Amino acid sequence: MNEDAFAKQLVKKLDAGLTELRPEVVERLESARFRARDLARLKSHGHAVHSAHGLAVIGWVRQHRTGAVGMLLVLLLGVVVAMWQASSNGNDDTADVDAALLTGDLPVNAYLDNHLNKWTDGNSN
Amino acid sequence: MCVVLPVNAADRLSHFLAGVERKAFRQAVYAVRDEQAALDIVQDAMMKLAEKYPDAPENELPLLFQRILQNTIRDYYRRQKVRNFWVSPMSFFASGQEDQEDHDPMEHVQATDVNSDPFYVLATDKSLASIQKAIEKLPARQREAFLLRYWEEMDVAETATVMGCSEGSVKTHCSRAVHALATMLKDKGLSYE
Repeated sequence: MNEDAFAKQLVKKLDAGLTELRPEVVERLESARFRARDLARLKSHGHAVHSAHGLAVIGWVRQHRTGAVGMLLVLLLGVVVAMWQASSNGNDDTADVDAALLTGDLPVNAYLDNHLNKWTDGNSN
Repeated sequence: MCVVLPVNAADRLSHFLAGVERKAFRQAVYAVRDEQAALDIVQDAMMKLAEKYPDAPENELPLLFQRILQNTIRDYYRRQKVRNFWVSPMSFFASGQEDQEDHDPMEHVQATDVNSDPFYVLATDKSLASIQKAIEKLPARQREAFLLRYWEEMDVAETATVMGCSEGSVKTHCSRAVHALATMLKDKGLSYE
């Protein structure tokens, strides 16, 4: 007899001994199994609720296809408008900065009454 | 005869557990030699399986459950080891022996006296009781490999996955376990040599 055959002979006897558990042990195992089943049911239900929410959204989209496309277009339009608004504001900001930089080069007298004209006339000459 | 097949995942899990719970309990008893602790371990393993894998396919359940069960048994060993360390004043001196290479603390878990265990009193077949005692006397890793490979009928790769070791180690543990069992059971007329 080789190792495998000997091992199988032993486990055959172990299998036969599985029926000899005391009733209280069998009850405790059964109780543990029921608790595990209830927990699995609870967990599966949790997953099912999440899936149900997803399916509900998909179902609504299918039923109201025109409405959904309209909403999507409105949303897209809103995004485009928002982007355009942001880019135009950005241009204004750049212009303000440029103006501030340019005016920063002028001498102090240029800001005083009547001196700006004199200064520009003098410079142009 | 009318067989009611489980219809949902939870019932499938329950059906699976009903088929393996007794073996799982025996495995835990062989490992920890305490019925109450073994029942706690099996219950923990069942709850973990239900919590983590409530919708696992039926063909994956045996491997998942065995992995959880063996990890729960190892957790029990670790807790016992920590408890023994603080309880036994001699543990400080014994800890020096654990620095050896490839040391597996579970290899040194040895059987205690089990003659008074009602588990054996109920084992009417003498050869069965002898086999059960011999299995308990095996080092933990050898016992684990033997039970998974031969009793749970897992292949070498699956056993290695559950045990968290290489396939070569599984083969070595199994061979040593069978050899040790044959030596222990020789005087009972059970041997392959």
